Amino acid sequence: MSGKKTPTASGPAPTAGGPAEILHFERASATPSAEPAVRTSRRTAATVTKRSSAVSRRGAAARPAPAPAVALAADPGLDHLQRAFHGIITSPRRLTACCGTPAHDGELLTLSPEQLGLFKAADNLPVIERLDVYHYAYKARLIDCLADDYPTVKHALGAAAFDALCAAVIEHRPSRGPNLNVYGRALLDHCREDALRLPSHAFITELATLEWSMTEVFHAEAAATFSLEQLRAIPMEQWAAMTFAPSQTVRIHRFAYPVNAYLQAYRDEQEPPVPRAKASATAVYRMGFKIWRMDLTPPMAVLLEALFAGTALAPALDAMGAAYPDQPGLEASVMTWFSEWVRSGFFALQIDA
Amino acid sequence: MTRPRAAAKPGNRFGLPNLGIGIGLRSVHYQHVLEKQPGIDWFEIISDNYMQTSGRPMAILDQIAERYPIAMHGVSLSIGSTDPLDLTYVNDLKILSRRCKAQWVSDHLCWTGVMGRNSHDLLPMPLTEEALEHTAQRVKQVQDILEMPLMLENPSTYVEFAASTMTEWEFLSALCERSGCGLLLDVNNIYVSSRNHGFDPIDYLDGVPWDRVVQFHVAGHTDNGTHCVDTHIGPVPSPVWEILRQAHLRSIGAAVLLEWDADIPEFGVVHKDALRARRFIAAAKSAA
Repeated sequence: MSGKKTPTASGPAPTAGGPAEILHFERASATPSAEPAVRTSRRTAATVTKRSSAVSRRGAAARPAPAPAVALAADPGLDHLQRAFHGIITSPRRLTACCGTPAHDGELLTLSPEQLGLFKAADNLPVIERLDVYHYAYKARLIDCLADDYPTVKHALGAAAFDALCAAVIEHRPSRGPNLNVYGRALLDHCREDALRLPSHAFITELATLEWSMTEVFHAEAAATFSLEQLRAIPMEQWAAMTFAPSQTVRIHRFAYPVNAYLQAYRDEQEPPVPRAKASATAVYRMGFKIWRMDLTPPMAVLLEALFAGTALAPALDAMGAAYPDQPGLEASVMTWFSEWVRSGFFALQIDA
Repeated sequence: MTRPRAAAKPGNRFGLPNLGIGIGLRSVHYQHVLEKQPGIDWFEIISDNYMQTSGRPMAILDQIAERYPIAMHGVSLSIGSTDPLDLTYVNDLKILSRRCKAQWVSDHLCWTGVMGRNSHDLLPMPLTEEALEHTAQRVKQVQDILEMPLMLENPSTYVEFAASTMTEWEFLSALCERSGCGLLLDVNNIYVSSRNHGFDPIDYLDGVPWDRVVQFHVAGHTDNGTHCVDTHIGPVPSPVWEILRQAHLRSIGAAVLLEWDADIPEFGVVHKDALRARRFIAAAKSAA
């Protein structure tokens, strides 16, 4: 984990650490079946019982005979074969070649002889186990991807609940694009729409929001930003009407929970409990290729949100003052805040004066 | 794998260079490559890891591409799918290929999804006339956009379709002929699939159009006894090196690349394993 910047007058010290430091695997790789091998080796002893109940009922020693191939009247066609294959390997249910087991029907996808007949039978490995290589890899790869994007959410939920969340995301929001860099968005969308009742749902959703921001900022296009020299060169009389465009590499969030503090505690290898609600605000931004998180005071968050929404400086300051009438003199701090924000590359080089 | 071989044939029909012996560029080695600038012939990148991102990976690739030849290897073209070709993806490939001055662009003989859904896996093709013609037309379309020949790799497969009417090598040969594409021959995948489906790797090698082969892949795999899985783990095992040697009896001038994707060790270990290819290439040359 990287270090912290020197605290400044503008607020709490920003903290470094983003997805660049936590990527555990190549997002895209030509090893689509890496996980099934691990799975297979892990289940060699106790394992067969974990497979489909049809197999396990036969016992570990007795390998099931290859399913009888059903002769097809004709080539079913490429599109039919691909749809059938895809439907099998992306099924959220475990595969079995055997009928029965009504008690577990909801968990099993029982392939019919006609379905199995689409594939060549061979003595060394039953068709169902061949299909299972792809079936397992499909889900494992996407869970790996989500775990890579949301390590703190995984910690907060625990491994089993996180896997259940991922399974729901994969079932209801399958990947529809070629690139896994963007698939993680599906988990955040899933949390926000409350499609799955999670423990500490509101907190988890905010934590997911923070972690996904870090991934977005990691991949965002860096553009020229407004410099301190340019800020100082602007005549004072122009300031009131100025607007500031946000950089693509910054995100501002206001939360009901102290999610950044939780995330940092996790990264510091503490065991933070799920916190109680307490308002917080955090900026996520990138300087060079390092991701930073800066906690914002409530007035800072109001001002930045107004500016990022396109409000000119004077009315943005008015809005901040109106929101916090009990904190006189805030405007005196604005120049200090601005210096820090500009140094951190919050504003793109697009100024309307 | 003991039959005598015919004399080696020189080069490839595309006039593409033999880049020598390279390794797949992986993020764990970024720092080493940038700081040490190791003496390696070339790198292959996974194209998809440099698409839909404008952050650190692209900046690093820019630096590495200044110093080393780069070939692009993708996993999401889905050339065999019945879904419409993703033209945005193909155009992004073209942009990336120009940015890193790619020597060539490759992907796999496979499909990754259908009905708008992506499995992110290299799924096996039914080896039928319909699939062949469908794939050939799409390869032509991709090549027209890329303005260069596409190289397709034989994948590892774990299941075969009952409808298949030809072998994979027959399919690939016909695909090359119809579409004009080239081949990235993964000798580890040949071994893995031969174990899974019970064919002789030599039959595969004998059926390959060698003037189309511009690159070899070598890698490790996991042997589960009943079948093998293409895990790209560990040093390249002896049977895979032997297939590479046999391949070099038939084709000279093709670049060799080691893929190591699981439990990746330090750069020097990977590079050292890749350089073992020299011994097998030399053995093939002396036998030719």
